[in-house]
Amino acid sequence: MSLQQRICKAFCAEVRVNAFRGGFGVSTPFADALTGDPIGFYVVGPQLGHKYKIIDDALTVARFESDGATLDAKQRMANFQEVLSIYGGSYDEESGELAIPDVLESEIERKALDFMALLLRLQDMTQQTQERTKNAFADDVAKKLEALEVDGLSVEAGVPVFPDNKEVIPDFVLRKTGQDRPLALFLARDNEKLWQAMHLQMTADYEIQKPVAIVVLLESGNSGAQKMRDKAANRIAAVTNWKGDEGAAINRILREIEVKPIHVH
Amino acid sequence: MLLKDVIRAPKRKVTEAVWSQEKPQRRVFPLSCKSGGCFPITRKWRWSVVEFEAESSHFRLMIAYHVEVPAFQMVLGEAIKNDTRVLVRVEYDVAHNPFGWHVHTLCEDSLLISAGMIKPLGQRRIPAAGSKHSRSEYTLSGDSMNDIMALEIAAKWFRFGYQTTFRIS
Repeated sequence: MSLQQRICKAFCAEVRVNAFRGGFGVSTPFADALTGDPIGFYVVGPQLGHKYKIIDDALTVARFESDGATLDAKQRMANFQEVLSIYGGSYDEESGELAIPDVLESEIERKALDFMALLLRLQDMTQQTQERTKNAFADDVAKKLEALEVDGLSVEAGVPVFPDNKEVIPDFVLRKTGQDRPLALFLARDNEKLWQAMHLQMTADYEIQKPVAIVVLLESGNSGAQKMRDKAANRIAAVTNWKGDEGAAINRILREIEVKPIHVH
Repeated sequence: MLLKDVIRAPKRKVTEAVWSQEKPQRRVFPLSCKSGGCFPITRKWRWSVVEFEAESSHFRLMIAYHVEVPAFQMVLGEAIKNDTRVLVRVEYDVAHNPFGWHVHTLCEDSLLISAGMIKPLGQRRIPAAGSKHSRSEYTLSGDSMNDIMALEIAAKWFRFGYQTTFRIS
């Protein structure tokens, strides 16, 4: 088998075309980060003039808008329009459908590749937004912590709280001179960080047997499941809320290492 | 409460299924997400929300099918104040490989599930993506999907009796 054949085979190995009355469903090898299923699309037709239409499930834009990447932001809208124009796509605001319309039978393969590329580019746009949102919370907290002017207080990011235990690494470790009880701070937007915080508490209590104050800072009051928040509140030093009460949240954290209340900028 | 318990439990106060093709208002199926809390659905889909009580909880079931291509989704969630804990998503999509009826679920007690939109992280797909799907036909008759068939499919999956009203919209 030639190199070209091997590459062609690799490209097509997981592409599947399933016929239905009125068209074909096409499953691509790429996963949709929001749904977990393969990215897919449909070739519908032939319609009037023996032309076909390539469409999504009319949920691509709805899903990424519900995930925070709304098209009311000017720059995002401009990027969206640019990606559409590169691949000859259109978006119908009324129906929510992405499409490449008026495709001749002889063009279907080429246009199908274009449509797949379009869906992948749009997925990238969504993920960049998610990453920015995630980072915004972490960045805001980091800025507040870095701006603290407290004698003897050190703030480190991405380091283990106990040098010989790297199993769970908190987002920040705060230490104060004269205090043998460091503070491990977890920034939580979901259950995972709550689990990590409780795991580190158990490790500290039963394996390492050293004092540590473990605090979870929730991005908002409803980050993670209620049951998980309740469990964490009963097992670690504190569970605090960030959004809307940032200064108080920072002071609540600092109280765990016996820093008196300060004005947080 | 586990999903299997919800499915097996007798259902009470099952609401009437009213079908629409308009974008749903937030109160119909509140689902917190970053952009404000609307269930992502568009006018290419016909949908209905059936609510019922089971055990000691209140549940919402979104049933939706695409009007042009074989694509179907049902989302069952436990109602909590102005939000929903999603327990399971049942899907069929001819543009998935392998295609056939499958579910995405966390397989956890509903108390451990965050309210609002959930991502695939930690969700199990049953059957797994690489496994054969035992039910690959969209409709048994081979006809296009319609409101009655969609409701029958939902009632069979989630074991409830139903009523429906059809409106042209």
